[in-house]
Amino acid sequence: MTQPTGGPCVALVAGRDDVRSPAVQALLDARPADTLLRFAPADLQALDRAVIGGRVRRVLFTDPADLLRGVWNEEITLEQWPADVSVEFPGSPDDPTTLLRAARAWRQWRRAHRRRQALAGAVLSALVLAVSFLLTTTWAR
Amino acid sequence: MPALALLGVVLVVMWSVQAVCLRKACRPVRLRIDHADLPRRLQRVNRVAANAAFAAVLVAYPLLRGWSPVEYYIGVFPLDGRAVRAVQGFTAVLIYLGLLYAVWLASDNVYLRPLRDPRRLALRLAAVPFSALIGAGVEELLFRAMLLQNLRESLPAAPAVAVGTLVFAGAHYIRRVKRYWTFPGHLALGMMLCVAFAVTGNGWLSLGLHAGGILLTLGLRPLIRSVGPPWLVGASIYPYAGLAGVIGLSVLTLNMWYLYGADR
Repeated sequence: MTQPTGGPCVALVAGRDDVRSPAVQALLDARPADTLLRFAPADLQALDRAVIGGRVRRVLFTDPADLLRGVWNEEITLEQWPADVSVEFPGSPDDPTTLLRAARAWRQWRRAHRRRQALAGAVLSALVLAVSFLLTTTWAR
Repeated sequence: MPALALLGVVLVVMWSVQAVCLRKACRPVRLRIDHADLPRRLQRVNRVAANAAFAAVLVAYPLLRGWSPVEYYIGVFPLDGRAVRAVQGFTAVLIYLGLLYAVWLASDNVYLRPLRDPRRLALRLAAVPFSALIGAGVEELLFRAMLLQNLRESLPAAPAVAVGTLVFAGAHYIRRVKRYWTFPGHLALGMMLCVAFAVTGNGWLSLGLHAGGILLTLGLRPLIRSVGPPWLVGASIYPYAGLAGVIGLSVLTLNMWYLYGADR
């Protein structure tokens, strides 16, 4: 992440491959480097802090799925963002794959979440059954 | 085995009353006991007939054996210090099931989602203690005080518990039900209740375990929604039907055996 020197500025969320796309290159060329904060899709908590802290007033997502994943993983708390912050998706309105990418992101996230849920549930269940055995045995004596 | 025969009589009565009701509603008679498609008035007739048959069997069984019903059931639920086992069983279930629900909530396998209508929620919650007491009471009288006690007279403990468990689990599937994969859960539940009865020699421990389970599952039903995988957390009012529930019931069975095995 590059640190700007001035006041509120623009944040760009882009993966390494997305940065090479013509739409993003045009954006990068059009703005002075010190008014642009760049975030990788893995840095969404830092973006969230920057927006809530008032350092960012405009957020550009090269892939809308990054925003969705951030919200689902609770890394982005949209309800705490100032009302005047704008969220944009450069190039996406004309991109016919946007909806498909969002659907794929949802499927992947849901599958991973189910796995985590089941694993955490199974491990914690085993643990509390052992605790219950000890508690019941101790209490009943 | 008169107890098993009497339970069979209940089935015959339920089926016969259903057949009469179906004919009255101009519907074909069927083998399966399922009154969902009958008019409400006839559904009520079916329910009353089934409950009356259960009550009649509970009274008839001791009389057939030459006991007064009160004398017989007090023998199974002795009014002395042994009644404390009901409190111990009740508390043990609250610990096991309460902790399981807590970790399922923490791991997103269960969501808190209370009914929106506060009046309906209050009514549902107010009815839970009565449902727990009546549900557990009737089933313990039928399946443990009558059936298992009778099986124990002619069979060693292990086969008596096995038959008692099978009949208890199977009885929950006599009527048409939404899901059948919960059967292993009912087997584990039946096993725990039969073992509790067999090791203590009276009905208090199994009554407490049963009532605690019904109280917690029915009490939480209007407050939560199960969203985890059914193979792990069961479904709706059957939290014991998933893997965690079946293992939990097995551990609780061992726990009760370990704690109260010297009672008899």
